[in-house]
Amino acid sequence: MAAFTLALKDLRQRIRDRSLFILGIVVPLVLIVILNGVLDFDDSNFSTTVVLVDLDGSDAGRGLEEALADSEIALVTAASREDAIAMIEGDEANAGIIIPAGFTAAVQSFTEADIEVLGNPGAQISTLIASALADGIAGEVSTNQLAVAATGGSDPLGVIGAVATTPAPIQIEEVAVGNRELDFTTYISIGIAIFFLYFTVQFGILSILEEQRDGTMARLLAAPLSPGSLLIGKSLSSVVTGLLSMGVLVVASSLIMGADWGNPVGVLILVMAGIISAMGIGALLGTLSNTAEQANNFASIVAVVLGILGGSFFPVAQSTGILASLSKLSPHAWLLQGFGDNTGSGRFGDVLAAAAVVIITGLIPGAFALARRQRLGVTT
Amino acid sequence: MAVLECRNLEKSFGDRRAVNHVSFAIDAEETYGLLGPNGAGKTTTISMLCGILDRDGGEVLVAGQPLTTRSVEPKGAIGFVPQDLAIYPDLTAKENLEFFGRLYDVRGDALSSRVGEVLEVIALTDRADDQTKEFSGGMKRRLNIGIGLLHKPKLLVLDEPTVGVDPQSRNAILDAVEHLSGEGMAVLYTTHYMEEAERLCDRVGVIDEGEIKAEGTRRELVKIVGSNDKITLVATGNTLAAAEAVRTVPGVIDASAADGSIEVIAGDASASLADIMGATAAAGAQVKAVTVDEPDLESVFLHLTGKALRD
Repeated sequence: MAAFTLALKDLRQRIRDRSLFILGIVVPLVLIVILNGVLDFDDSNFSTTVVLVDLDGSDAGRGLEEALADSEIALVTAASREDAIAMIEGDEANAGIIIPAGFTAAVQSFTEADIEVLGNPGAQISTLIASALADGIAGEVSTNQLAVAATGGSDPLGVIGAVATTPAPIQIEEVAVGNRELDFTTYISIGIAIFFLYFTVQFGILSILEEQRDGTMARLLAAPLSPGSLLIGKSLSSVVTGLLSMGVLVVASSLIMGADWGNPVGVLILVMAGIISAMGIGALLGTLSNTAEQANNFASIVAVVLGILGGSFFPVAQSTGILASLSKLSPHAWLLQGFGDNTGSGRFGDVLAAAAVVIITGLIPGAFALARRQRLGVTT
Repeated sequence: MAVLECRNLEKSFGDRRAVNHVSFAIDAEETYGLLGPNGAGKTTTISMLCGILDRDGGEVLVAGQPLTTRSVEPKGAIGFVPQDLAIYPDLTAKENLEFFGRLYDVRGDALSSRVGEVLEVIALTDRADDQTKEFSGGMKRRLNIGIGLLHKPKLLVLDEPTVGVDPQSRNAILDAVEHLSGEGMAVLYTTHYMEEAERLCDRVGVIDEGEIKAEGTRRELVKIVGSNDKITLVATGNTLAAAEAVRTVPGVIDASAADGSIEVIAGDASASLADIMGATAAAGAQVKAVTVDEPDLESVFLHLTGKALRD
């Protein structure tokens, strides 16, 4: 009962000083909205325009037009290289492909032929797309040349026709890997919410040091609290603030921005795992600090480092090298993976492995903190 | 039965012995003072007997029950008023009282009623719903004490409650403490102000360097020092004859006349003063003014430790 009394008091303080409202709800929600608007990488919204200058009037140019007919890449044509450059500079197109005059003849005579790609420094992705399209044309031409050479060059048009109608030996199929990939809105919503969850929960558990600073800890220790009531009360208020904050962010980001958090039970499991992790880390930071201010500074630094390393703002785990490996040290990375699994499969059972790792990131520092609890003066 | 009994309390911080075999007991309705300078071990002693700090040795009994840092029930019998303010600035006075009341299992109507009573005692009824960060230092001090009183403890422990308090609030606090023992509460009061110990305490333990140097009523402590009271009578008439007559009064050690006054040395001025006045009048002198100088606890402390209380 005393633990509930203590937790209610803490909640009242957090609500009254507005820290829960500001740090747990307003700031993350505003950041989610801003980042979602500014950094919207959602591929469903991506489109680009490529200008094609086919000075050869070749089959390659016509094939490209047919291939891109139903894609997000708009293909427009221009009569000359200069017209294409003017269109790119006038933002009518983002990149360009120029098939030179005599391209087909050069191909058929096995001499060198160049396809030119025009790029815009301000639209690097579009330039890369144009390069990829040009590579595709070049690849097809090389295949035809190889086939003609292999048959002795007796009937080049017949061989090319046969190649065109022969199914490719390797088909690349785009498969939805929803259990790993989150759309940008969902990713940024989850990333930011997790990021601030650690602030909210850690500051809650560190209020033990604030009790010491304000002199009220002595009074609590002198009160008839059962062993553990103090820690349970403090933990309880942290759990409630964490759940409250995440609950609002889940609902708000879903309703306002259409974020897909996946199975609600999976969300609850992962949020609880995150809260346990944040409490354990916060408790350890508390025992390593001499003052409430120092502890809050430590907590902020750790929350920011873990958040960035874990991919709260950008998908560090999808990078390569040591950074990707290091990101696995952050509970944020595991939480993001867990939410990815939860969104993709819709089965909460799929989040258990990630949740277990996240809980361990809290239990280990929590155990250290308990071992050092005398430093806090917490004797109950 | 003693409300508080502590025996051979010991506590060290590293190599420094902060409390060394401290023992004392407090009965119901008794106010016991721990008098000593800063750093004497008063707060450490209090922290151990309130169950805040683990002790290295010794025993604490509250209302007959042993108390440790992990105790629950015995702690409920203690009202603790720490030296530093221990209130929540962003809660109102009423919310502070209610929160600590609930921790001591005071609930429902009893809590509402008791909060109202305490607010009246500490004169904060009209500020009950204000956040305490808006309070003056004196108001915060009064609330700090009020929280300790809320659950009607058998033992109230006050750790230097008047430090840093303005004279008006200090008097209000001392008045309140004086009344508490009259309501059946045992009080443990620590201070380094000799005047407060003399005014409030039935018995005083003189503590220095973690040890109780002496203990007893003020009179008993003064006797340890071996000092006597000095009574100065400003008088007219035959002061020589009056001094001669006063010397025969029981309890008077010496008396002499000089420059319109009579100086009397007595073992206990309060016990002998009426007889001294009678003897003076009978000898033909008229007393205009009386001054009594009793040896105080300051001199006792000086005698016991070789240093002043405020050193």
